[in-house]
Amino acid sequence: MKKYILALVALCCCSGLMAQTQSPEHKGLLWSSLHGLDYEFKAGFNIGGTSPLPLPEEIRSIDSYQPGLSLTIEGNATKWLGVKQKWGISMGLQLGQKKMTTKATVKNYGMEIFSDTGGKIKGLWTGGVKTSVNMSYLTVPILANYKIGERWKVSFGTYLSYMMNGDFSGNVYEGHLRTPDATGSRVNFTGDNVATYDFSDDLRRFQWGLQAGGEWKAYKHLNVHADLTWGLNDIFQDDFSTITFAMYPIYLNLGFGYLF
Amino acid sequence: MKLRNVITGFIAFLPAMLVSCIQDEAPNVEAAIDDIKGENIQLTSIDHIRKEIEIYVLDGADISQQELNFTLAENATIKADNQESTDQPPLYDFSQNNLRRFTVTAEDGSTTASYLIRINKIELPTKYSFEELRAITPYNVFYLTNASGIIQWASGNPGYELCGMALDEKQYPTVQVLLGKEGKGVKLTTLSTGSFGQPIGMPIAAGNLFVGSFDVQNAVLAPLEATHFGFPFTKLPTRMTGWFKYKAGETMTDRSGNVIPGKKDRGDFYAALYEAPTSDFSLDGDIFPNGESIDEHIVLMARIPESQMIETDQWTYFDLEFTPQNGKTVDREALRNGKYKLAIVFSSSIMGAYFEGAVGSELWIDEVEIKYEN
Repeated sequence: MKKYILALVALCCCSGLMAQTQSPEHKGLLWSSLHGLDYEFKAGFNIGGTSPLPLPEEIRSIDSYQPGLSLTIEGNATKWLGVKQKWGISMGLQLGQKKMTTKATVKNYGMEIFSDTGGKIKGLWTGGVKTSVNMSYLTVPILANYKIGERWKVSFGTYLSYMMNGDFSGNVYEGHLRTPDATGSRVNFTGDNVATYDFSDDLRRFQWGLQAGGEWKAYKHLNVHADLTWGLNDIFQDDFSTITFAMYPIYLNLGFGYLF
Repeated sequence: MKLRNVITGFIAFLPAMLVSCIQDEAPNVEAAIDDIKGENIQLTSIDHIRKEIEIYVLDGADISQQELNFTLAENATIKADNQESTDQPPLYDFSQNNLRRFTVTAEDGSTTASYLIRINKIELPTKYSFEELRAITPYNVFYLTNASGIIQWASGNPGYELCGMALDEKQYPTVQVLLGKEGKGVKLTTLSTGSFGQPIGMPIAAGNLFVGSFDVQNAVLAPLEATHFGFPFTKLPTRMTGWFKYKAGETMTDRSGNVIPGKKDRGDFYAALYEAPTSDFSLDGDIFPNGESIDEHIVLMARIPESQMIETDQWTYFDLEFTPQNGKTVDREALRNGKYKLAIVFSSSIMGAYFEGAVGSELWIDEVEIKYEN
């Protein structure tokens, strides 16, 4: 994953340099400009969470939240329409991560832990749950754009993501497991006693959702942006039943862009 | 500036949004008996799978007013199915019927669990052939007596179930084998606990079998305290005899799972008569602290010495004498009055209680007898 990002960053830097060393009235860009086409390179970071919505009654409190550093890079093209060129449609390609680590207190939260042999222990957990999510995506945003004045642009649309790598894991601590069901035996966990879980293999590859955002032109070539992405399908595969509720990634992407 | 406000706003907004979305707490759905304590109770053995609870009291105990203090799942309630007019909870009358049914109802009413509770007055038998099983799945549970008797052998099998490694009953540390010395026998094997046990300092589970009870509640939290050894014994034990086979596993590991080079695993078995200051007192897995000293309550003990604990694939006879421990002598009067308990313990790894042992160590046991004077 890091290799991909480095390669893309390198490529973009090179093309950026080329754009600067050659005259701004580069033939291609000039042609593009005449045909209402903009190209932009954006870099930013995602901050947000992967969460069930609404929070199910099993979740009693959110005790801590760490966003982690989730970098994104994106290249996109916008075709501005009509004579006034107020409206445009854009499409891009984004490489990025969505990360977070949370600690929550839950009550009777259904879970299964698989062993090395494929055997499992299941039951209802009451106590602490630490969850770490780290997913790397290749995302195609398809957006409608609207210019408000000279400096502001807002956008709205959908995004399609392919998850290249995904990690969804954590542990349970300070509480008790009732196994295998609500009338089973109680097993206490405190202190250093934790049980780890890993649902990475149950994550869905294809995810999609809605995106809305705004961009502000700080200088002729430099934009800053904020885009909210809201996942609309469960991050887990349909046949995954251990976590009884669906979870959705909801992240804000902040960063800057270079407009060619 | 504006952008910074947006960022700050969002960071503050997200957790706030989540917290504000927290729903009202639902009533508890758990319905279970986690423990029973009470006057005169010598031992409580809970089968969480079949919901059968065996309670042992001494022969002279008055079971028309048996105290049962239940530890239930949070906010659950319990009721006897057929109430006796003489019941005054927590005192229950078992004099008409020593087997009674109780129903536990969860706080939200959605879950109920029906338990059979039996009060037993039974003496510890002294011959053990391991022929009959009380339960075959998900793991073998041995009768200590024949099927008409009630006492069962305890083992760490319920704890091993928690690591999810065993796919059938033959993959547990404590199993019945068809080829015993005579008829069937018992095989204890030290096994790996896999990815569940390793991070919490329990990389192995030694096969064990003992008189007493296993408290699965503390199996992870305080494994030494989860094993309760012993049952009241009113006779004077003199010798422990029986047959064994032993094979040491290849690689000794410590509780972190690290290899201990140059050290070989060793099986262990012993019977220990100990003073029980109260009826519910029992020795736990820390009976030989760190494998060096010996618990101060022990009065007499017969234990297989290192020189006799040989690796052999032939059934080998042992005959061990009970010898005085801690400079103590047996008070015969107190013995008759049930103030002593006898612990009988077999383990495939001598330091298994401290999660030190070699995966693959196997101890086979059959036709054990405790010889005694009346």
